[in-house]
Amino acid sequence: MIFSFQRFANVRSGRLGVAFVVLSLGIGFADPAIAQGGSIIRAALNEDIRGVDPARQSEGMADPVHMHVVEGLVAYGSNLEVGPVLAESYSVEDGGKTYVFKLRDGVKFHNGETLTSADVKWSWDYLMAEGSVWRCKAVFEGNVKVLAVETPNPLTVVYRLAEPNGSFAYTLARTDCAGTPVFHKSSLKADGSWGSVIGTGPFAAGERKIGEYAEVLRFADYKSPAGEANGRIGRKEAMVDKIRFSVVTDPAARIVGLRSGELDVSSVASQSVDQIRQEAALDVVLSETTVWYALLLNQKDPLLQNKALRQAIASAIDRQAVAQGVTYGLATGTSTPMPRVSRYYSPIANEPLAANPDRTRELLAEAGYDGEPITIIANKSFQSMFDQAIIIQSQLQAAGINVTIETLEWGLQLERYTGGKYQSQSFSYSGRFDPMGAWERIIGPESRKVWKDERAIALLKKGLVATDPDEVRAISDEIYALFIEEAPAVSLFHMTLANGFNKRLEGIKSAPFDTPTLWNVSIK
Amino acid sequence: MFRYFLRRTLMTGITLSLVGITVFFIMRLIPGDPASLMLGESATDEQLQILRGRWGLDQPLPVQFGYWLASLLSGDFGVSTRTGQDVLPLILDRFGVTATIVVLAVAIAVAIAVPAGMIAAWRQNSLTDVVAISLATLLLSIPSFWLGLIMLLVFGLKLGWVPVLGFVGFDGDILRALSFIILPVVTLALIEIGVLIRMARASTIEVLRLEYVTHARAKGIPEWKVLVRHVFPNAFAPTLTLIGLMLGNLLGGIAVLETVFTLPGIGKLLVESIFARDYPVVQGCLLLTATVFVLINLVVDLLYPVFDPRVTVE
Repeated sequence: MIFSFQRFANVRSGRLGVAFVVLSLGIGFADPAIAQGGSIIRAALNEDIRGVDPARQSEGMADPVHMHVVEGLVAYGSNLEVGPVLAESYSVEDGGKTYVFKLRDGVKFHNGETLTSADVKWSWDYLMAEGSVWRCKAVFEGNVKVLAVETPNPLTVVYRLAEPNGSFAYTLARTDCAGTPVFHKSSLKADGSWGSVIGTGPFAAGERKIGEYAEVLRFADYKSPAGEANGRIGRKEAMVDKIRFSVVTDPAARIVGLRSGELDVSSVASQSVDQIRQEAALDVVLSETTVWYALLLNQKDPLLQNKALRQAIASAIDRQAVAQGVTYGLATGTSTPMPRVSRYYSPIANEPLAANPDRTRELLAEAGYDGEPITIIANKSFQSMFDQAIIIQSQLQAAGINVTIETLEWGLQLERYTGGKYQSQSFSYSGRFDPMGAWERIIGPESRKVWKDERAIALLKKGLVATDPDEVRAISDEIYALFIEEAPAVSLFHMTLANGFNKRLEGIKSAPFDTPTLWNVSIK
Repeated sequence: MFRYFLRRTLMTGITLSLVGITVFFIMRLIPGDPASLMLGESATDEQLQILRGRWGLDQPLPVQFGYWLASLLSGDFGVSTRTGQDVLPLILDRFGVTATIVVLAVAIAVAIAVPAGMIAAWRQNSLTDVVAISLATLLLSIPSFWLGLIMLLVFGLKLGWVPVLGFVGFDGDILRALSFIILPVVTLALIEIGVLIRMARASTIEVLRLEYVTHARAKGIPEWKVLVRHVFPNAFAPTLTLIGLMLGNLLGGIAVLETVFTLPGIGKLLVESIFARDYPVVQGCLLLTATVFVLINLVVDLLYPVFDPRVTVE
């Protein structure tokens, strides 16, 4: 998720004593294959990227920049299916225990070196090394255990797994794991510390000023994958010389930036969509993502141990109203964590999206509920989580359930979540695209997982192993039915993200990813 | 004077030590785990432990404090857990941005508000006074973020005179750099003008009522001379104290304006670091701003006798 830019210069003092630390990728200014100046797309980042070392730090804010610079063997298309990127093709052998990737020939790193299987293995070893906090390390040591990575020839990489696993390629492509990036070993300094990212993407890392912006520069020697452009796979072409990602944390300032023409593309708040669309020079693209909003119900809590009460809470919530209320009509309610864009999405018949007051009354009576207070933890750092808590509170109170909201600072809420120390939480989960990822977010024995049911854990494990898509779907449906029955959480909606853009851009497309891809985007 | 300076310097050292100890322990009392915030909701226990170990957060608090203090005394403020940068250059860079805005804004505010407040007092209850006091009250009442956004909309968006996003340092094109800071400077100056006008007016009214002013007038000294030579020094002394406090407060960060104008200042850095539980940066920021605050007030105290000779530093 993170990449680094080389420290280029340190402090330069200006006439009035203003000084900056300028971080930059030196090769961006030395290699003729990397474009300087010319056409530029200016995009907004809601927060600054931390952006250093993928194995030593891990966070999601770097993703919009990172995905333009580095690539993995495989990536997700807009339909959430995996396709090759650095790989030409891949095959599953040995009943799902061996994955063989054939690399594309002639792919160049930003330093001019040619990609080989040794680079793939080196990157893998670096990410999986002891002390690494790369997000997928635990997965590849646990649920999808990789025993060995072999390089029989310069263009072949073989992954040998401990057990057959159908989700291996999906896991490699996970965006929250930076798509298992492949970077050149000279990304590290001589002393082994992280220096600068040298990837194979259509853009190379350029100048970065921490707290202000990060730039990526067109890589002229980029060798694109074949096929029609589709999400993060297929044809990729840098159609501008530079993309500048500016840190603009204030939502109002982002809109002013779009309207003034100083920003070409930026995420905008749901309530601003109509306002943006009224501008002649601007438009909005909406993307239903896999970012999932839910009300977590802790089954360890003495009150919420009562299944009938959890079911009553689920029955009293009008998911559609919550979704519409929080997103100003952009999102649609859902009763499953599985996103609609996934091929494994299959809503149950008579999906319970609206509240059912009669059923709620019956369940409350069955639970023996006598007005005991239930506390929902929410925060205001992420306004959507707070807004959904408010709407849910009013709906539950209307059903006779005594609910209070405890507003915490996000760091504290996350600590309670990680330790499983809460009664109920208004929460949202980062996007997951792999078939079982939707369920893996909540199922497991770890303290942070809200659903520790042995049956669910067993089903999840089965689903992770399955290689046949029909079998995966059947298992997912089984988990879904159990989820509705047990109600460890109330699924509410998947966030629809709005990105405002200047109409001078051509090629901005809707995709289920959290951020728009800016390759294949040109300036009219 | 020298003894006074030494005593104040010693007190500054004690104050900063107390600030350091307080900041260190209060930050760690705040719930929330920096490792969790870094790794997000999918972090495993092993990963959390790795990061905590790397940052020394798995050590007992006194040990952590000892390490921090030892590093601090050797000039090492630590490394940001959020960005991996060395803390000292980071906060100095950000402080430079904030200081540029604040010093310019306060200078402009003083240049406008002090004469305006004095004139309003001199013409007490006249139309001039009513206009000045109304303007001051209006400026005091406007939230800075709102005024900032209006400035952006009018001068950046509608008129297109200045850029609305970003910041450019003064190490290149000075005019371009100015175009980026003019709106935040003017916004901040307008807000502070309101406070300063009221202060300058109130202290001038008080001085104008003193007998020595009447005496000076009775001697036939021209009115402007009475105002400039006799009223201004005495009336300005309380305003100077206020300016000192104002500078100290503002140099500690103007987070709201820095956010609205997308300025990489120390206020925004501090807020972001608090939310990320980036202990080294928070400690560094607070130590720096406390030092600046104490030094400014020391300078104000030393300057006070220049304007009001009745006050001596001894």
